[in-house]
Amino acid sequence: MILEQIIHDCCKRNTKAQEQLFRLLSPKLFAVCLKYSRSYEEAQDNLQEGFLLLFEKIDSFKFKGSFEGWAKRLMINYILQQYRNQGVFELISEKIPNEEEVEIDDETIEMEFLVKIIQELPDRYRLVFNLYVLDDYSHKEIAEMLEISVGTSKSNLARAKSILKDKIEQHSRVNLPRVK
Amino acid sequence: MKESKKIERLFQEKFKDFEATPPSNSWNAVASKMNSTEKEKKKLPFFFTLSHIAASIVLIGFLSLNYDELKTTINFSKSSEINSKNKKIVEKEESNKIKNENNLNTTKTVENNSFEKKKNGNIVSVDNTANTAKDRKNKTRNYNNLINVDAENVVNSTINKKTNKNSNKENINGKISDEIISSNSLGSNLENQDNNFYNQKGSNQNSTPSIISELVNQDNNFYNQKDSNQNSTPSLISDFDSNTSSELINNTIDNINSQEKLVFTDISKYELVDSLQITLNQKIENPLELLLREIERKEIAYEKEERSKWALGTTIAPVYFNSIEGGSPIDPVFKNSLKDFRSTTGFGLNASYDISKRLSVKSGINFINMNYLTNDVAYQSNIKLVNSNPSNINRNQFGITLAFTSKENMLQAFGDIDNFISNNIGSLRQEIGYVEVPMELGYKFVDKKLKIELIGGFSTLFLSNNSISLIKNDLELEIGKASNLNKIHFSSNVGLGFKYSFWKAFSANFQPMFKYQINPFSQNSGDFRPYFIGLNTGLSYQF
Repeated sequence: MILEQIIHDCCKRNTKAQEQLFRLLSPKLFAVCLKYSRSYEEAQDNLQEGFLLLFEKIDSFKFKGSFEGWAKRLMINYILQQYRNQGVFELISEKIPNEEEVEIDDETIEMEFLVKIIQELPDRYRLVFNLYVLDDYSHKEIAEMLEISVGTSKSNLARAKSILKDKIEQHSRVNLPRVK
Repeated sequence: MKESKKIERLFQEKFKDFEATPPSNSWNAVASKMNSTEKEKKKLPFFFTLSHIAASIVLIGFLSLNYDELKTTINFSKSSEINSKNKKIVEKEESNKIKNENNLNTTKTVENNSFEKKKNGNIVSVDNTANTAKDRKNKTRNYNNLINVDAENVVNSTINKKTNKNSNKENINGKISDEIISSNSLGSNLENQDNNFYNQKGSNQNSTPSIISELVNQDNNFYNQKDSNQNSTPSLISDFDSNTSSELINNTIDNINSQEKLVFTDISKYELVDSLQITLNQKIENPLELLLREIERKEIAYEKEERSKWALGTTIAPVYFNSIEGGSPIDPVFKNSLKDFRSTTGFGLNASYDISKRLSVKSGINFINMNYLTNDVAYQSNIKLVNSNPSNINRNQFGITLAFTSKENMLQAFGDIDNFISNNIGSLRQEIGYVEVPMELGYKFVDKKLKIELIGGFSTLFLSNNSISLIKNDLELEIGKASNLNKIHFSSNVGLGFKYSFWKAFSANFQPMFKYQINPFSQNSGDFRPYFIGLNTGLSYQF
């Protein structure tokens, strides 16, 4: 396999192979960075630093499972680590918002807008939402990864969805006359 | 739940195959980062460098001031090696000649000095290396020539003059060479040399290095001149005669004129003027001479005053603590939090020793306490133990259940939650106490009743107090100690010293000092680069 050969060459610190791997993986991993970061610029930084870590740790990939999945997890963990260092603690008095049922016309929603409102989420909500909704981690896994309780993870997710919903509704109202 | 799921599904569908091409320069950035394996060289803190520059200036100033003395010492030691060998011969010769000495000879000797000085008066630096071994050999021969000539009784007065001069020089050189051998340090060499010179000549004690330098030049020139004339006494005489006869004669006849010339040629030679006067039984009291004597007396008196080299004093100082860059030594999460630096009061004892007229060494012991507040700290009390947070606090029993972070982080993590966290916002107060032992050099650039000096050096600081407390409104709770403070660290110091002598040996001091702490933290200083400014004020006593 070509990818396998590239990975082997990357283990030998072959610059050309590293560049090939970067070209191959960067669109997927930059998408991850955009979702988990606060801004486009921060996503760029995270992508670069994440790749440096990837090339450093590439020896530890044992060719079990997909390399893409391994690289994605590594990138997510790298970004989470940045936030873990902030020492943010749980807010006990945080109220879990009531989930209101709102119809969303997803035809009117653009990709850039969705990325933007995810990036605008408070850090904790953004991480939990991404991990749970977009990257299929369970609340238990999230609780471990973020050093929080399962309940907090659920509460954070609900809060994130509520904020996103509000923003989508607001966006839909503003754009309604123009769309239809 | 139905609609909520819809949101989840919306995002899942939209982001299922989401890819984004990074900017085109991304790979270059990664590649260049990989290549730059060399860590960035640590920048030298600005003020650290500055203090070293200041110290260098002081050192260079000291060396340049003493450069002439330094050269003189080397020259003296070189020439005295050969000279001392001939010393005995010359002394013998001298003992014979002393009998024949008369006033005229002495006068001529003095005049000859005057001539030499005139010749060399304006030449401050003569190439001392020119005084080579060859020259010394020539000199030796010259002495022998002189002695031989003397034996033949050819022009007795001229030879007497020469020999007398030589023997004087030999005595000086011999003495100085003894001193140089017996002393180890260059500094003391210079001093000893000075003293010897003064003793020998019976001169005032305030001669400057340039005088010594001139004397050496005079010696060299004298010898060189002899070298050129070594083969024949008549030529030596003729040389003197041809070049200086008019002056010599004039001076011999007109003593007052010669005195004036001596004075104007080299002010350091007024002791020669004295001897000249005594020799010639002159009773004329020259007003200029009276003035010179008075100056001499004043200078001696001044020298006596200068003998007090030690000074002890006490200081009290408002200490202003701050950091060149933001950062937080408690935890990186407080890097951008507002810091409130408090001024405190330090006190101490200090001592200084004048190693020269302008240069002094200063030391002492100071007790300083510094503290600052890290504001906008979000905290929460838990019923369970909280993981190490902040990272650089060894927490005590009260701190162990508290969690801390910055308000900024809480807002970024949870959005607009001001109502909640305003009740849980406080400040962390870090208190750091040091016993400081400075070691500084001071260079006086204004030396009047008000003395001003430039001070540079370093301090060793021993940690004496270390605590971190949480402050909320007026309540304060100590939560532990900083775990990253070095027990001993150093600071780089620069400052100015103002000293005003108001009564006898007492003086009032004011020293604004800037001290940049070089390595106060063992780890994780969070870009915190502290410094403090001490406005040391106090009294000192010189003894």
